[in-house]
Amino acid sequence: MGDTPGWDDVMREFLLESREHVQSIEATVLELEAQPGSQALLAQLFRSLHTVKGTCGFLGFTRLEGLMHSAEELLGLARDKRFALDRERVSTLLALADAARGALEHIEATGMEPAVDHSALLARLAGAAAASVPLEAPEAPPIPGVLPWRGSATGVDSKLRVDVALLDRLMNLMGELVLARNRILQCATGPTPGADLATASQRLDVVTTQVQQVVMKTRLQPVGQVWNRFPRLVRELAHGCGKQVRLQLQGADTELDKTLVEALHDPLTHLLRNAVDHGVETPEQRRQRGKPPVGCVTLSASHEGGLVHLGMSDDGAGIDVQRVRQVAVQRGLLTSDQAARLSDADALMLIFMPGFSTAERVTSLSGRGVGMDVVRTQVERIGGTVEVHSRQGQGTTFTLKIPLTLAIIPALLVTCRGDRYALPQASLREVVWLEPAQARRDITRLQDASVLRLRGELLPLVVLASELGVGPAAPDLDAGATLVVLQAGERTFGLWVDAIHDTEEIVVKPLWKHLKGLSCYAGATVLGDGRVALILDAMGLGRRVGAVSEAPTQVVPEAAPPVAPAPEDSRERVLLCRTGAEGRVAIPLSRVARLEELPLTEVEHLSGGMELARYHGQLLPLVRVASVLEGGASATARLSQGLRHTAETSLSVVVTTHADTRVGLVVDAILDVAEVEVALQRETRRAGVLGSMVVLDRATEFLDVEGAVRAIHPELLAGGAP
Amino acid sequence: MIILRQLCTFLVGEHLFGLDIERVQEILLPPPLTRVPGAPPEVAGLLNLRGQIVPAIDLRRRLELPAGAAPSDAPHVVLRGDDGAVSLRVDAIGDILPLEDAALAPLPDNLRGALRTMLLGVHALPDRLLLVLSADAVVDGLAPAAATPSPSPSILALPQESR
Repeated sequence: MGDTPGWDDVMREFLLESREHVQSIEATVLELEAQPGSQALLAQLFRSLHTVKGTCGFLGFTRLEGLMHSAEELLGLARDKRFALDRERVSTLLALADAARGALEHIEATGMEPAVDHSALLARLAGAAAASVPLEAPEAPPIPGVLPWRGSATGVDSKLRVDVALLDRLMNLMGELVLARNRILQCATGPTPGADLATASQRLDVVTTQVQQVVMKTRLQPVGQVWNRFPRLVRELAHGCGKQVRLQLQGADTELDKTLVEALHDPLTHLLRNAVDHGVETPEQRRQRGKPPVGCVTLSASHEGGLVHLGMSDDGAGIDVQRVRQVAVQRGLLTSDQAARLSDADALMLIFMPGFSTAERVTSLSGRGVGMDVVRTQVERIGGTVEVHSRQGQGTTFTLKIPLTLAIIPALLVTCRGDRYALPQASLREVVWLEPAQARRDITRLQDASVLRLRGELLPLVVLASELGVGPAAPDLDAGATLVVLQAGERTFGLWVDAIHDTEEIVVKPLWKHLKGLSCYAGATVLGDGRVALILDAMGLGRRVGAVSEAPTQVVPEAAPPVAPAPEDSRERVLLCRTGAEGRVAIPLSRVARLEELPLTEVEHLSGGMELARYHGQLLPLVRVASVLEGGASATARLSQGLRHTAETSLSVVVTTHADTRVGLVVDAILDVAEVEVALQRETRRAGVLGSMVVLDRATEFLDVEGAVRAIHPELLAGGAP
Repeated sequence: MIILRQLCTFLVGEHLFGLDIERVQEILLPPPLTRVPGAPPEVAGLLNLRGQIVPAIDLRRRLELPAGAAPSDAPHVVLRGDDGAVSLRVDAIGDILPLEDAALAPLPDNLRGALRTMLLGVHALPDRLLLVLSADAVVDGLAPAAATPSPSPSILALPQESR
């Protein structure tokens, strides 16, 4: 029979189809467990079983046919309402699906049915079908640790189902492409070369763009393809650890590039495993906490601004941030001082550190240990980011933000010392050109560091030529400045380049393995003129800016064991302000969101000396730094009272962020930005001051931003918005 | 039985080198190179070989030969390898010589340094010595660029093989 012409095609079709049916059998069985007695689901299950049975019989795979037949018997009785599909029967049916999957794999490899004895499974099916008799088969044999069908995934995934309409469009476009080529060839060899070349190449341009778009579309796959394996995984995991967990899927038809869909399988599996294992509590615990006994894990996907957002949230115990901090200190990853300074959001990010995940101590806390670094590494490798939010007692949400596709990206071409570099547009925020006069005004140079004032915002500047080691750290301001404002993760910074060119769609190619250690590059590409250009990595460049917000990754090198922080880590950029007549305070630049001059007319005075400013349609709580330093809230009223009678018409406000709240710190003048060695010479007991030091030959107090805010508005930092 | 091996020869500085022709993919006239700031000095840059991006190694630097004025029209010898092609910048291309494996003499004991680790042996030609290079040692022995903790680029290149 194997020699019959067309046999291969028949087999291929059979395998593809049967796999899909087995997948659907499994999914339907799981749904049936949730809503037993649904006739529609039963009918669907019947159809799948019957189709597989039929084709198996036709092709002579009698064992598989027999299995499907027994399952049909069992279902027939269920359909006649002789019994409901309880957990045991569901497990039996799932075991059947596994057996069928194994058989299909064997058939694909050898063309023959495996010589496996299915009698145990048949007995189980028969036992389950015996309506009134209690089930003979004991507890189902445990499914081996990992997902049993992981191996087969590669076989299926190397093939792709594509909409025929899409292929037709592609075919049409190919026809146009050939015509365009012919025209160009004619132009090149014809009597008047060049005459029609412009129109012909324009046509070629249009067609190529369209082809590219359509080809990209054929690669798009619904994320549900990764997800269809998850209901089963959650079921097994939950049963395994004595929990009850419901998996909700939202937006499974959201489309994503095939490579990405596959690359996401592992991170999502890790996250799910963690959610079930550590996130969701046992039914007893949940009842004690007044939650429904069945935990809920939600997977969601949606498109937002050119990115795909994947969310995974559970309604479990949440992560104990305080414990995370403690463990980080215990493990020597951070000093207790650094740990205390970390915001909750930053502290949560610690769970992604490699050293963090493997330690037993950490996995036994509220979990979220194992494999978290794998999750982050994988997601970052495909150009995505991971965020985590957790509320203790209410659950944890992970958000993965992934680009739609990777292979071809729009990029801005810039030059630096005669070389061209490509900057992916995804990280591009704006392009700024400063005339020499503007450059001298808006760019402040402090030793080797430059800072740009852009609409009241302070942006650290990275000089590309100096980063790459081909130019000085401080370019000549008299030539003006060409700046590209980049967004890398949470950080915004300006990249100082020599000139800006066109935008171009580039094909990203990996860097040679010996060059992969260079963090400023994300790859290389071939430009339109055939020259190679390096692709700059905004993340990598941004890391060079080095700020407090990145303390965890800065202090501990990823691969190496924890070492003493390098000297430059204790350096910090600070904003120098004047308070009162003589006082100077330093505010960590990392805490500063914006600098504003607010007219006094925008300021509201509340009872008790509270001041609020109308700011971008919201009310911004104000804290007068001078009064904090002079002692407590009582001084505020007095001071603001006094100030109201002065000639002052506006306030210099440093807007700082605290989790999701913004607070304005009122100072008398903003003086400068400096990079300082944070070596506080004296611990003070004064509220709002961490210590003092000498900056630019002046004694300066280092402001404790949290402390200062707490002194005036204790309620703001206690939690949530005012 | 005499095993003849075809060696592609080329000049770097004042020395004549040879490489097994099985490993040589092609010879390039000086291609435009894109330099890679931050890369080890042995890396001459990247070049575009019919759409493939190929790294180029400055063989003179790699072999730690005295820095001389490399000709501006320095040709490249492109090696094939499991991880894609790698190009070597040399001074001039020589002949292809069939030589007996058995005639390959071990390296002189007093030869030290980088050169020793990258040579398989020497052939004594009538008028000069031919130094036979190991392609793997030249390419794989290269120190990885800047020992920064392996960063993850924020975009992913199209993988070479499907996952």
